[in-house]
Amino acid sequence: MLIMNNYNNMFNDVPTPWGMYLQDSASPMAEGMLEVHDTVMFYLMMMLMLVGYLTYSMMKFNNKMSYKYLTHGSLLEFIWTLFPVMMLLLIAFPSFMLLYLTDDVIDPAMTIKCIGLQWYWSYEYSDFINDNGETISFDSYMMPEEMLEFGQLRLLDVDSRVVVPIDTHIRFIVTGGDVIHSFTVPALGFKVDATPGRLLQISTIITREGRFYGQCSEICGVAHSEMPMTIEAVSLPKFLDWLNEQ
Amino acid sequence: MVTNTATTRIFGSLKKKIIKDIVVSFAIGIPAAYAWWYTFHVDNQKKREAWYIAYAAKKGNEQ
Ligand SMILES: [Cu+2]
Repeated sequence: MLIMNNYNNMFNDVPTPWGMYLQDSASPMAEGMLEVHDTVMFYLMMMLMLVGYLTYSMMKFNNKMSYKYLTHGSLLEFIWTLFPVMMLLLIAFPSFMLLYLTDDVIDPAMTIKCIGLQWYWSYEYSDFINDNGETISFDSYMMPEEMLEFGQLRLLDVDSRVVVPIDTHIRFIVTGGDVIHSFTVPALGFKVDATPGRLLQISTIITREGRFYGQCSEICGVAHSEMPMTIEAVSLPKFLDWLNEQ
Repeated sequence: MVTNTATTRIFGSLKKKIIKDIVVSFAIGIPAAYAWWYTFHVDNQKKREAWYIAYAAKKGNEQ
């Protein structure tokens, strides 16, 4: 368990080979998800030991027939029904609490439209208008392997990243242009289906600078694995600089 | 209780075994669960909090 800890030190923002834990959180929502994961793991650990030891005991101790004459037992049945019910309730409460918390959209300062297309993402910054009176929008394709620069990640980096400010309430509105895609960023705790004809929203407040990667998570065709999303979280002044360049 | 059989009958061993098995498995399971929580989870949480405190200090210096 302590070895696993070494994998997480607030800079694991990408999937790593042999990585054993989740990516570090970069939003309160993702932090809540880590919390729920660990809570569920607490109960799972208990049940693993319970079932594991009982299995071991039945096979190993005394003789192979140790439970041979156990044909019925009302009390036992009562216990082995009640115990899982209790466990499920203990797991369900924190999960539902988080589920409804993630649905909350609190007065966003800016909105970004994300449109999933075969096979790229199209983004629109609806709150900002450029000199020609158009909203800022761009398509974001995966970097082909032969064009990767040093330090860029294969199948994860894109040509134009979504730049967003940190410590700001941001709302992402997700939809699909052709088939169903899924807008997913593990570090931020996102997973929203991009369904054609439907708008789904998710709000976040990114707590630290960094690049957060995600991959389309709804099988959408041959290049399903080649339409990643990269979110670059920067400080507000840097974000304004970026905005002026657009 | 019949005692004049060739072998002595054994009573209650089944119940005893179940109780023993359940008690032992909980005795392993509960500490294992708490070990997970207090070594991994709490440690991770502390690291995260420390990181954010350092991060806030760094951000404050830059401004
Ligand atoms: Cu897709």
